[in-house]
Amino acid sequence: MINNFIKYAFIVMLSTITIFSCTKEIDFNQINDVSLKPVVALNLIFFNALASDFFIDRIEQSTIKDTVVIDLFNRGFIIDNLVKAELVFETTNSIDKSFNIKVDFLDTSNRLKHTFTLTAPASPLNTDIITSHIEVFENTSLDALKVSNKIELTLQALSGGMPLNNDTPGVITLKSKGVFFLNIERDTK
Amino acid sequence: MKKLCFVFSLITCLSFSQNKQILYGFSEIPQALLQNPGGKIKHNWYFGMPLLSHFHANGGSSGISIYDVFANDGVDFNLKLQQAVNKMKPTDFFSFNQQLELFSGGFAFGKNYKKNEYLSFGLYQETDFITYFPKDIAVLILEGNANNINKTFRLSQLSTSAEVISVFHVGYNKKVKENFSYGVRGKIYSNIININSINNRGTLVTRPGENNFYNQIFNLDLEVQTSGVKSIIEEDSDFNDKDIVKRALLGGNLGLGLDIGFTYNLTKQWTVDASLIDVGFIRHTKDIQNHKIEGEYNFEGVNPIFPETNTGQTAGGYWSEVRDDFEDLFSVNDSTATTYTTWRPVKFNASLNFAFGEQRSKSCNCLKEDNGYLNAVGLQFYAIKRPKQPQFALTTYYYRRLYKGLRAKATYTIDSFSFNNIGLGISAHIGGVNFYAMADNILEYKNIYNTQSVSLQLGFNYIFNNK
Repeated sequence: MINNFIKYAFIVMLSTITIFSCTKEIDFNQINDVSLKPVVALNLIFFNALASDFFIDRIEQSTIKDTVVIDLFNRGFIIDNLVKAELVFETTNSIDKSFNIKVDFLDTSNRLKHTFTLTAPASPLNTDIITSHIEVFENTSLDALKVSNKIELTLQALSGGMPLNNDTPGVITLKSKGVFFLNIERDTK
Repeated sequence: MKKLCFVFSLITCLSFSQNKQILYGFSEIPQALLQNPGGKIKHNWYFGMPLLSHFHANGGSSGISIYDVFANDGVDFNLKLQQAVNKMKPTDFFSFNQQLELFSGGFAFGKNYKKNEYLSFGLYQETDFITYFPKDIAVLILEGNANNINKTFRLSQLSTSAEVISVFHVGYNKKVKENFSYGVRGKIYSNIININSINNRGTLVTRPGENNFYNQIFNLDLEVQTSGVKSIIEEDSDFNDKDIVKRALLGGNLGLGLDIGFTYNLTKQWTVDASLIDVGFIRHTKDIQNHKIEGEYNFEGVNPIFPETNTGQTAGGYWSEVRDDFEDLFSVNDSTATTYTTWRPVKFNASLNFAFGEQRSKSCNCLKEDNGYLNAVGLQFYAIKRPKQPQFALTTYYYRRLYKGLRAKATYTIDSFSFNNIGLGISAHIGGVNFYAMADNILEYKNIYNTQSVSLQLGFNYIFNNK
């Protein structure tokens, strides 16, 4: 009799444990609220030019232009999740000549979507003169960035100072990076 | 509602290591022999009720509980997610183990009237899964690299292994002397599915650079090996239930294993025992598909102007080369079918036990002949080899014979998951029918989501008892 009672008591206990085991509230739907906000830094463009590089075939090149196809900004993932971008440029000039660096953003039909120019001042004593520029892309400028797939760089030696030749001392360098602020949310569409 | 709750809590149990601390040494239950082939045997023969003789599920998360992340407490989910990632270590893991016995049986034999040898056999199916928490990758996804310059993100933290197998086994146990028994069990594993990715290497790091702001170094060496998966996922797969049965019945990738163990009575009351379980391997030779991502790349950016003077390329060419390099880096190499071997997670058990409280017969007030003690206490140690590091558990227990047909065991366990794991198990014997049920972490059942691990075993046997 008691034997049976104990038996049942145990069975009841075990099942009670199982049945009453969820009392506190859990909400798995919170997964829909997930929003990841990584900040990604990526190298972009760089160059490293001696003053003599502007003297090609005995002719001083005042303007050098090049276009880079970068099919990064117009990718679906970026369009959906990029909320802000900062493109950071840094020039170091030790040539006794000032330069303008024009950065143009072009779309697939080569239409200009965004532009800015940085100036690297001349360095009469051939010391390193560092100039920084941060181009912030938000709202309309961000939209412009997201339709761009090319960056056109125009490096222009400004008038003044000595003409550049094979013996002109100094170097001009450009470093650039993109700092991309992402906000990745669950697609609730 | 309660029904739903029941189903849900059961699923939770299921969705969540392998320690069977309550079953270990519980010699009235025949399945305790699978924990120690050299255990004590208290019956003459038995058979397990087919499909019902042993069900085991055990799962856990060593770092956090579901409640930590999903509690409906008004706290911002992303904050909880961030806190969870901060709290967890790369050695934290999520694991799940399940076993279902399809059939089992055993019988005593021997030359003389006191049969001192015992043969047991059976077939069970086992699922085993473990994945470690790749903390660096989680941090990279949550925070990005911009504020983690110079931080090395280690891809070696990615470690996962999953297998579904069937196990045929035959065990032999011999009581050499009154105070000493030993046992061995041979096993044949038949692999149904295996996914193995435990030797990953590589790093991602962003360092201050020379030519540009950064030196972005990608070093990848990742591999996943699979067997039994290809035939299921391939496009014109005709995989069906029959194939599972075929694989379970020695038609899969085969392996061999061994269990050994002993029990030694130091005195009438003191006993030590130990066992080594699943010392074995599976050789994967059929239906293999391995994938590898391997490469190293140092990204400085694109150098568009003066390419002639530097590398002799045009800028457009340079960019497409960068893009190709990235695509090569992250591309999954063509799958290979190289055979491989996996080792089963070896388990070690040991215990020290003290029995007390003599049972006196009502009729004569004399000691009962065999196993005359009503109580036992003891200390159990458990260890299991896992891909990154072994896991340990220490259990103290109290065992009590309540009545002739009812035994109970309560355990307190310290392990990777918690320091307050209390478990309870019973074994009821009604005539020849034996039913047992055990579960741990019962204190946490008031909020099952807050528990980091759950272990559950239950089953029915028919035991012909003569002891």
